[in-house]
Order: sequence, then C-alpha cells, then structure tokens
Amino acid sequence: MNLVFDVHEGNPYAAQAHLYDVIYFRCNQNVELFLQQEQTDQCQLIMDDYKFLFKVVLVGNAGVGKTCLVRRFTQGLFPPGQGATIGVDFMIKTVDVDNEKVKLQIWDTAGQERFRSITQSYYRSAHALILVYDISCQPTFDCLPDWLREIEEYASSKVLRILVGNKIDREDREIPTHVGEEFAERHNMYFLETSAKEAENVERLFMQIAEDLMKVGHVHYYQQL
Amino acid sequence: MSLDKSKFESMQKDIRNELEKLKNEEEALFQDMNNMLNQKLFLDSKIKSLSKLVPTLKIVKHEAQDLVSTINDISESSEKISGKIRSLDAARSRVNECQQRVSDLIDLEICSQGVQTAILDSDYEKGAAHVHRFLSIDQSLLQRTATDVENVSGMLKSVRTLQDAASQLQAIVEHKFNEAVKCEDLVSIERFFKIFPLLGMHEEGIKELCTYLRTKVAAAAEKNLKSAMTTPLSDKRYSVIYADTLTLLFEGLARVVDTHQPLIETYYGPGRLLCAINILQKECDIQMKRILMEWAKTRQINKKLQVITELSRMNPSSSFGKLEKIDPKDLDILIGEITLMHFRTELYLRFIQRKVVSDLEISVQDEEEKSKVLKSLENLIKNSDLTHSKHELLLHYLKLEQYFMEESVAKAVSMDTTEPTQQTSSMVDDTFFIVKKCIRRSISTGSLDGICAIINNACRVLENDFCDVLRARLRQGYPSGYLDLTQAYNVLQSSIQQGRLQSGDTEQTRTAFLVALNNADSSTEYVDALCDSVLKEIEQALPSMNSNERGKLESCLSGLSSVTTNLKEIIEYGIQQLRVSAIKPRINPWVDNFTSVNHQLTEDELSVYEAGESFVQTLIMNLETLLSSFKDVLTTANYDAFIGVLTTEVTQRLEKVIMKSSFNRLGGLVLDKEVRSLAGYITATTSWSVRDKFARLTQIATVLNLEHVSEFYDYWGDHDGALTWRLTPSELKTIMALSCS
Repeated sequence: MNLVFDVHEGNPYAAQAHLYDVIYFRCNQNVELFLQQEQTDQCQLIMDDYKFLFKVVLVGNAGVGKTCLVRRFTQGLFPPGQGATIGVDFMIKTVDVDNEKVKLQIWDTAGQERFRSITQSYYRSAHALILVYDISCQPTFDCLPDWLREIEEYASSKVLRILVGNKIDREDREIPTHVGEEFAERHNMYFLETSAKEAENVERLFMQIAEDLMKVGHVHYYQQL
Repeated sequence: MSLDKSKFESMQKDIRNELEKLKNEEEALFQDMNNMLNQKLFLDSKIKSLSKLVPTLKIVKHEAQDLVSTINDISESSEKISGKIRSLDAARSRVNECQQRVSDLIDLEICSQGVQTAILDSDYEKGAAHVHRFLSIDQSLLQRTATDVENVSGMLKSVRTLQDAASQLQAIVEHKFNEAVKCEDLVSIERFFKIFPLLGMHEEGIKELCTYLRTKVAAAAEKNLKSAMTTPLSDKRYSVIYADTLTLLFEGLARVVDTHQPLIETYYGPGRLLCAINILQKECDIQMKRILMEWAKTRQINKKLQVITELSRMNPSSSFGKLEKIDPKDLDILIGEITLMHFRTELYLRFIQRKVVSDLEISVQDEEEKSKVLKSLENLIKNSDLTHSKHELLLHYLKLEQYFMEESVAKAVSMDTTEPTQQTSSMVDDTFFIVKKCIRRSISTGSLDGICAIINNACRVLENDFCDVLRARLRQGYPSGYLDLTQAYNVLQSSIQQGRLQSGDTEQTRTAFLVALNNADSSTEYVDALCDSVLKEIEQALPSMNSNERGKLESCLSGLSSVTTNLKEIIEYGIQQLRVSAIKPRINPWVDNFTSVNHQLTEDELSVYEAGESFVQTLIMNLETLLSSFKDVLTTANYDAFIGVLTTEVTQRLEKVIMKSSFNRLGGLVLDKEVRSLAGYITATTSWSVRDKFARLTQIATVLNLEHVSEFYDYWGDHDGALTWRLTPSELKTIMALSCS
C-alpha cells in the first residue's frame, strides 16, 4: 500500500529510481507525440529513437578543460585557444551500450564564479556529475572540496560522481595520480585521468558512465516488470 | 601368352585409333585446300585492282608534302606578326605610363604651387586635396621618374614642398581639431574631421573624433547619474531610476553611433565602424560600472545578497530566527529593476553587433577576412566590462529571484486557505502564479541561460517544496472514523453534549486530505498549461534561437513538465489511502450481506424477494450515499479514480461472497439480474468505462444461470458465440459446483 512512497524513503535506489520514472515517462511521451504525427521541430528530436536518456554535467574550475573534453567526445575535435564558456553549453551524443541506444545529454558548465547561479541549477536533474581538475595546476585540485560541497547541496544524493584529472599530456604535472585516486576513493567517486588533447581515456570516461547508468536503469526496469 | 595377346590387342586398337585420326586429318586438310582453291580467283582480282592504285598513291604523297611546307610558311609569318603586335602593346603601355608620369609631374607641380597658397589662405580643404593627390601618386614611381628626367632639382623640390606641406597640414588640422573640440565648435569639428582622411590619417581621425565623443558621452552620463542619485524617494521612477540612467547611457551611445556612422562611411569609407566602437566601448564600460556601483550602494545589493546566502547556508531548524528574513515582496521591485537593466544591456550589445556586421557586409568581401573581423568583434564584446557587468547582473538576478520564488511559495503554502465551496485551496493558484511570474520575469531579461536557470529552479521548488507539502498532508491519512450513520449521529450527539466537537477535527483532517488530493490533480493541469504558455512566450521573446539553444530550452522545459509524474504518484498514493480507509471498511459489510440472502429460491420466494428490497437495491443505495458524499468534494479526475478503485473493491468482494454461497437456477437468475443492475448503476456514475471490471462477475453469473451443464458449451470453445473467458477452467469448475441444479 505504501509502495509508492517507499520509493522515496527506504529504497536505496529511491531518487535514482524516481529519475528513471521520469525518463520512461518522457520516452513514452515522445512516442505518443510521434504517433500524433506532429510536424514540429520536436519531431526531429523524436525521430532518433533511444531508450535511455541520461544527463551528464561537467563541473570544475575555469580552464581545466571541460569544454575540450566534451568537444573531443562529441565531435572528435581539440580546438585550442577556446574562450571561456559562457553560462552553460549543451551537447548530445547517442552511444550504443549492449545494443541499446543511449542518449547522453552533456551539459558543459562555465567554471567562472559569476556563472555559478546558472550552473548550479543543472545539478539537480543530473544523472552523472563529472568533476574535473587540471593535473598540472594545484589550485584546481585544492578547490575540489568546495565543489563537493556544492554538489552535496544541489545534486541528488544518488548521482553518479566521477573525478577526472585532465591534461595528462602535460609534462609539468603537479598532482600525482595516486593523490587524485586517494581523493576519489575517500569521497566515494570513480576516478580517471584523461587528456582531451591526445584523446586519451575520453571515450572510455563517457562510455563507462553510460554503462554504469544503464546498469542502474536496468535494475529498475526489471523491478518494474 | 594371353598377356602378349592382350598387349597385341591394345596395340592394334591404338593403331586403329591413330589411323582413324590420320584419316580425319587428311579429310580436314583436303577440305582446307579446296577452300583455298575457291578463294584464289577472288584474291587474284583483288591484287590486280590494288596494283592499279599504286601510281595514285605517289601523287597523293607529293601533294601532302607540299601542304606541309605551306603551313610551315604561314606559321612562321604569323609568329613574326604577333611578335610585332606584342612590341606595339608594350610601346603603347609605356606611352600610357609616360603620360601618367607626365600628368603626375604636372599635378605635382600644380599641387606644390597650390598647397602653400592654400595653407596661407587657410583653405585647408584645398590644401588637403592637393596633398591627397600627391599621396595618391605612386611614390616609388616618382623616385624612378626622378632618375629619368633631366630637370631633377625642380621635381625633387616639388616633392619636398608637398611632403613638408603634408606634415604641416597634418599638424595644423590636428591642432585646429583640438581647438574646435575645446570651443565645442561643432561645425569646425566636422570640417576638420573630414580633412583627416585626405591626409591619409584615417585612424587618427576616427580616434580623435571618438575621443571627443567619449568626453561628450562621459559628461552626459555624469549628469544623468547625478540626477539619478538625487532623485527623491517620492519620484515615481525612483524604483527604476538606475535602469533609466543605464538606458539613457545606452541610448546616448546608440545615437552617437547612428549619427556619426554615415559621416564615417562617407569620408572614411565603410569598414571603419568597429574601430570607432572599440574606442566608444571603453567609455561605455567606465560609465556602466559607475552606474552599477552607485546602484549597488543605493539598493544595498550586497547586503541583501549576503543575508540570502547566509539564510540558505543556515540549518533551518537550529539557528532559525537569528537572521531576519527579507520579505520577498520587498525584493519584487528590485528584481524588476535588475531585469530591466539586464535587458537594456542585452539590447545595446545586439545593437552594436548588428551595426558592425552590416558595416562589414558592405566593406569586406573575402570570407576569411570577414570571419577574422567578426572574431575580433566577438572578442571585443566578450571581453568588455559591459558583458562582465551583464553577467554580474544576471548573477544577482538569479540569486534574488530564486530566493523570491522559494520564499513566496513557502508563504503561499503557509497562508493556505480553503474556501468551503472550492475543491482546491489557495496554495495551488498562488504557487503557480508565483512560478509563472518568476519565469516570465526571467524571459524579460532576454537571456536564455537566465530563463533556463529559473525554469530549473521552478522545477526544483515544485518537485521539492510544493509536492512535499501535498505528500505530507496525504500522509496524515483519511480518518475512517465512520461506523454507521446512526452511530455517527450518536457520537456527534454525545460530543455536542460534552461540549467538544471531536468530529469537527476529523472532518477538518478529511477536508485537508481531499483538498490536497484535488490540489495535486489540478496542479498537473497547471504544470502542462505553464509549460505551453512559457514556451510560446520564450519563442516570441527570443525569435532567433539556434537548434542548440532550442535543445537546451526544451530539455529544461521537459524537466518542468515531468513534475506531473511526481504529482501523479501523489494522487495514486492518496487514492490508495482512500481505498483503505474510506472504501474498504464501508463496502465490505454491505457486500457481505449477500451471504445472508437465500440463493436457492422457489418461484414463490422469488416473487417475495423481488417485491421487497433486494440485496442489490440496498447495495446501490448505500453506494449512492457514499459516492454522493465524495462527488462534489473531489475533482472530476479524482472522482473517476475513486469510482475506479471502488468498483474494483466491490467486484472483488462480491466475487468472494458468491464463492461462499450456493445457488439454484432461480438464485442464479437473480444473481445475473443483480450483477447487471449493479454494473449499470456504476457505469452511469462515471465517464470512464468500468464495465471491464465487471467482466468476471458477469461471467460468473452467466455460469450460475445455466439451465444445464451442456449449455455451457454454447459459450466455451472456438466457435462464434463463445466468450473470451476471464475465468480459469478450475475457477469455472468451482463456480459450477456452487450450483445445486
């Protein structure tokens, strides 16, 4: 009888499970719209069929390479001399996981303080949060606790959290791998070092996220059945 | 022996084969020879005719050789002719060049003579025109001319005179321009501004003019800011006076650009606007910052933001009340002023962009060059203090708006009242009014990022703050209290006698529960309507969104529309509560009465039963009472859901008690009738189809109504009249066993 509410209280997957409800609801909605044969712009969005939609949000200090990671993954580019991101950027990439189409909606946030109000508003609906620092820049690592505090405050408690040390192509490394690893372990996060420039671990990072989110999604799917 | 024989035989066979082969070959050869002989005649005649042709060929060869030599001659002579033409062309171009040089020299002479007199006459336009002519002469060509002509000294003198005159004029014009600026002599300013490009001082000219314009803009801004700071509180523009000041600044700048752009374009050529705007932007940045600083001081922005930040950091339970909260109503006007300021800034930036781009369109054709200039425009805008200040404004706006939304919704919830005639309470209307107001206000900033952030915040407030309240109210439960009408009456009486109206409390909890349920239902409609209207308004406010921006917006809006999923969960929870506490306990005894009725009737008993009040009549009457108590207090959708649950309960319970009874044929007949009238009654009460829920009951009645077991096969099997059975074969067996006949 209390089943509906237990989803939010006792069940460890509660919040996550709820998010997936939203996803299924949305997918169904899309299908319905499609059946109505609406000739709107939305139709374009519906046409690419996908079963899962996940929101991935990248955060971290300005200049650690968030935009480059996203560009590398979504477009295979590494455009040097990029200006700072303004507000929030938005990219989509559909990937295959276990023969299922998974749509990743990637939100690339501005690292600068003055955009914080905008970027914070995206934490809540995120399924995965990628916290990025620059391995050749100690201050970006030192800020991680502040970022975690912000995540605690605004994001869902069940959000998948990944710590990423970017720019491993640089020779002036300041943060050794094990230091990043230990930090991630202490805060119960996944850890990966990447290079957007050399395309190292970038694909792996996002695919791993898609797979992990799928696993949680599947658990819920079968529970429903 | 036999071996030899066999060997001999095989040899013999081989030989025969060989012989056969040879015979065949001979025959073939013979055939060939015959063919050749036949062709001989034909070939002979051919050879004869060919030999006749030989002399003709010799003639042809001679003629061809003649032709070759003729063509060679022609090509040689044409080579000669074209060579002559080429040298003629060269000669002509040299003559032209010479003419040019001569005319240059003549002009040089005229200019050098004219320029000094022009300067002496203060006819600077004429002097500058001479210099302009001089500058348009190719200086290196002039050098070469000098080495070619004999009268070198005269020419060099002219050149020197003109060079001197040019620098002299440059100094004079610059000086005169500055003087004109000092005396605010607009006519002279324009006069000398036009002379700069003639002296090849395009950049200096624009720089001088814009520097002058900067002082004008600064002076006007200073005046406006002062008057803003002294505006009395009673002034009706007081609340937006800084937005007004900012608007005046932008309008002033836009006017400067608009009036001077044609001047620059005419005398300096197109493509110079970016250079001018670059200089003006510096003043714009300075003035904007000053205005914002005064604004922040007067409106105590930082203090307000600090309080808000501290309030949000505070654990609401522990240190509650230490900090005085800001009434969201007090922020309303301030937030409005910020959106206005932000929007004006956005408009001004768009204006600059439009101006420079259209200037670029007519001046630069090369795509690569164009994108380079566009990039530098983008950088100018992106790195300007104006843009930074705009971002700051948006940051302030978002913080204040978020606080406003949260606090106002909290207020709407705390001041929630229910009008007795209303199905929903005031918090729904109030909350959605606030949310809509905030989103609309964010649209008026003109920033898509700002809009998206507010939509995200609205989503959070609705899903957390608003839904939590509804959920908590439903969690209180629907007090079942009811026993029977007479008992309820007795309880009421005794309560009144004892001076305490307990049932009043229960009634209140009940109303609160139903209102919360209705609130959730009407909120789903509000959410859908909100998404629709917001999308339309944004499309109007930002008509030129690209596909990426659209995707961003749609994603945020779909987040908002999925609030309905939460609301539907809440409704489902509420309906289940009602099922447990309001439907089940009342329906069960009514349906259980079925067991106290005799289902093995004789004809006489049947007529007696039908004359009196039958089981189903009583049940329908009871249901009618129950439903009518909910009909007006629930929204249509909730009432339908309520009936749905009620139907399931009644049919399941009835099935159960049927299984406990046994029937004769007349009993089955009565049951069939009663099930039909019950289904008919419930179907009539709702807009949904509930007939499906009666499928099993109807089938049970059908089985019990059979006169003979064999009739069953009329309904069972693959043939036309067969039913789609909702009952399993084993259930059917059990049911048939209930029948005594």
